[in-house]
Amino acid sequence: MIIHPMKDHWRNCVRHENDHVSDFVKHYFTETRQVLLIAGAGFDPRSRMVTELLSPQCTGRIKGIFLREERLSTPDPGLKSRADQNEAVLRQLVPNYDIFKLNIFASDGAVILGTELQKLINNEMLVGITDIVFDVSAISLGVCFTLARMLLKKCHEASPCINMHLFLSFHPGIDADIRTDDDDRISTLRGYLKPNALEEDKNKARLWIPILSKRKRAALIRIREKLRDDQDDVDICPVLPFPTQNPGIGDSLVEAFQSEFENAWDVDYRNIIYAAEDDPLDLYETILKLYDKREKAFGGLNGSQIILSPGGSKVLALGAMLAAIALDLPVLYVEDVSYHLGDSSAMDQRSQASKIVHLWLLGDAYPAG
Amino acid sequence: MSNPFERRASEYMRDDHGFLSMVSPEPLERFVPYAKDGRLFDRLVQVIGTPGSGKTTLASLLEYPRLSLAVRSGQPEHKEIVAMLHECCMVVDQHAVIVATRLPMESEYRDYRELPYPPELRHRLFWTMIQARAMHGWVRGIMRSEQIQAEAITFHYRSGTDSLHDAIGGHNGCHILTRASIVEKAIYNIGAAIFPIPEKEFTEDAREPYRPLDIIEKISFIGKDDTERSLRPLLILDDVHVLHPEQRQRLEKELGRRELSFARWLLMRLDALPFQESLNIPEKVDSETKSGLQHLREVVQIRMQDDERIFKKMIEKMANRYLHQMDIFARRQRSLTSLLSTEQVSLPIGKMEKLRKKIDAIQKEHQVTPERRTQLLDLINQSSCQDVDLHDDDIQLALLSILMHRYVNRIPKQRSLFDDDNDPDPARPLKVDSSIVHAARLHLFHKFDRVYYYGFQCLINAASQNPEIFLKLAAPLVALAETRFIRGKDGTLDASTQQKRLRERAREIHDQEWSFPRKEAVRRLTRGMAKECLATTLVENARNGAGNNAFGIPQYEFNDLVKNQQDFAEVLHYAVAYNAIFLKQNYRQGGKEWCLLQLGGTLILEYGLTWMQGGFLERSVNDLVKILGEQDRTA
Repeated sequence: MIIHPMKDHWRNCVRHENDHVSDFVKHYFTETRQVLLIAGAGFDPRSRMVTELLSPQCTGRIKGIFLREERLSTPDPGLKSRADQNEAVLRQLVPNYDIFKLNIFASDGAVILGTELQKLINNEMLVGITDIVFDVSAISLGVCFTLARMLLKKCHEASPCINMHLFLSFHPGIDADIRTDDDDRISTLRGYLKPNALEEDKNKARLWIPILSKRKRAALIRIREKLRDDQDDVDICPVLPFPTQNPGIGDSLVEAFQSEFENAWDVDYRNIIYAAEDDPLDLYETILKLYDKREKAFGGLNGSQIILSPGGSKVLALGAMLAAIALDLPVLYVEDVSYHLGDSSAMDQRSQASKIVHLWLLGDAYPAG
Repeated sequence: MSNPFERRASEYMRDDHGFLSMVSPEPLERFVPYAKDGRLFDRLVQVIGTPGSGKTTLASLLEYPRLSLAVRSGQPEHKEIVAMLHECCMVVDQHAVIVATRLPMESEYRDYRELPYPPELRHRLFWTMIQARAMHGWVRGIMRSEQIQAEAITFHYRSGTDSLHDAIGGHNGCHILTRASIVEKAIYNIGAAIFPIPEKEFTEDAREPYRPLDIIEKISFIGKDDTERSLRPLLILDDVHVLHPEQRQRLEKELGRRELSFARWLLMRLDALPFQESLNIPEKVDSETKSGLQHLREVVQIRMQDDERIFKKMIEKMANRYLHQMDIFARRQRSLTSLLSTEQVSLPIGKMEKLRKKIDAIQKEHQVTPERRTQLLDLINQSSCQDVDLHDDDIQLALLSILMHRYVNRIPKQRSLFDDDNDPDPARPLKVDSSIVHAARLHLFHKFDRVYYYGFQCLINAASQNPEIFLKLAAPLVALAETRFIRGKDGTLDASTQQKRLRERAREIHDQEWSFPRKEAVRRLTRGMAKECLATTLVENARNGAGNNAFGIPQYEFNDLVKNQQDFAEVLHYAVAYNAIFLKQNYRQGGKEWCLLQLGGTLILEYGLTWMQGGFLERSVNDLVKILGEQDRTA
């Protein structure tokens, strides 16, 4: 297990929200900054927001890499056309760009995004760059987790260290507008541990932390079954968003998972983790505390292992991601095979009310080493 | 105890005793013929089944700690398991003779295929990892079960392989474990690296050859009673469908070699197979598989869902075993069958009146004479049908309706005013058989809400030979029965309650629990098929007898499916793999050969179709493609 050097810094991570993000962008991204922007060019209306903020400030000093995620099935024509439109806007905003077609799946249905991303990330692309802006607003979770880890490694190894910024524009309602077909395989992510991978892991006390999402209910059930099939004795601390904009969300999630809570998962309601819907560092902090407590409790026995499973909420997933990177935790998830939009006009409207958050993950803001 | 029907068998895996008390040995019956002639242990075995068919549960039962516990415990409730293990030649004279370890083929193994190294190196890393973990699994299993240290375990190798022993840790279990751990970690670090490690930076442990499975013959140990026991290793690779087809083929090549002395099984889902294989489309090549095995001789293939008799036997026992985990049922000695009333409930008075009026209207509209009506009623009264009382008024009336419509179709359409015969005999005699009785019941169900889906047999039909589906459907019924007992009532569920809950549950499974690629397309396809089947089922004269629950497409069209309709073939592949559609190929009817696409049990429940098999609508592949496309536009 390798503890990331930024683990404690992220507890006090430099962060900005909403209007403060605009202020930060205006004051920080001055003429001295050479920016590499990595963002998703998908159907999601949030794909443009960060670029629209950044581009006027960084004219002539920004290179864009826009990801087009390609999945198994032929995409819905409506989704494709929305993605094409968003891509066109991004290209206009950042004239110095590359479009990277990212195959999420191989022809046999295996998730290969890790290998594909390895083709994208190299040392040459970082020459002369002072700041990487990773806009995860319109990037799927699997890509987000893997790419973040890769970028952090490259930025950290660069000399001088490259600043890494993570931006997310979000609206909880938009995630609910998007329906997905799940893959039928449970995936692990390149760069993240696999639970039970090594003989030394086999007897550890396990804790599974799933971020609950109605959309991913079937997938989470399968992950839990997989953990049991491997004869794991697993405790469960499910994550519910709280506080939230919509106060009923938590109750509706509990209702959706009630059968699992009371039967197959046997969840003690005192073990539910409540994490702020709009602050990724809230969940991050909670996982860190849990980790420390468990290391103390089980250190004298066979040790402890926390397994994370991100669900629908991108904000909460980011908190889990930072914890997974900081503490070298295994991640199990189910990739999306295809997307279906509900009411696209409602989604566009909601995007107008999106919030935005910035996390400065690595670089000049923190003491070296 | 919380409802055990809500949990899969894997929920009990943490406790070996608990697991053994819940698991059913009946699925092993399929393995007995192969065990008796030795093929179960001396060559590659493929075990194929849909998710929830019990493959993993079976593998978990055979793992050494549980198998030996079942034998040692001597408990009466394990008698059946031990007897079956004897039949499968896994237990001899009250001792286990095999040591099995199960390795789930997770995405980690698949990832080796994507590493940027030459194919031979990728395969070596992959195969080495499997071997290291197999050695771990065998040693750990014996240690755990026999409560001995690794030093007491000895590996025996084929003669003439002395020079290879050191590389794998020699003969002693302790050194073998150490070596396996070192190799495992070395290979793992390569596979897990966020950026590829250049080949020249591999450690020595990753480079050195490690192939214990080439030479292993048996494993022995000295037990706590100082007796030496000898075991044949069995390697079970689970979820092989996760691997890339090339990986699977190379794996089959490795494991198909006749000189290997250990037993080796591959467990996989139907969708592991390429479309051609999963849909059982005949290939126009010779019988060799791509791995070079001459299939019939060198591979044993066992399908988990091809014997309804075994399923029925197993499921009844399993259901009662699960039920008796709940005190409330155990105390009352109730079986699941007894909780599901099969008492038929006739229509209430108001609906009966409506039905009578309807029949009278039909009679009047088609000018059926009272004498003819009486004749038809006599025909009904003289007939009989298993499980259905034809003297029930509503059944009689519904049958009468069908017979009258059939009668009208069998007499001349145009009758002259001057025709003396106003009650002609039908061109072909009418009869009442089980298919018409089913049709009548279905008509009553759809038009008058008379109950059709109830009873234990209904659960069996809906489960489509899949234990997990059975448990999912039974769970809410058990919960309801439990609630009734708690409230001081008789827990037996009436037919109407069963039907309502079963159909709701079926819908929930499709809407909320189906989780596989193309599931929306499968949903659209099956919805469209069900709609057409239902329309023809409800035709007044029950032209198709008991109704339809399948489409039939010409067999030759099906054979060309993968070539001509790739997208549809993919949708069908997943529909078959996940129990939504069942294929019956080379079905002869009307002088033609058909491939029947029968809807799965839960879909039959949801859409209110017949249980009876054989009724199908003649369609083409293009018709099905159109259904998929049309539903797409209206979705």
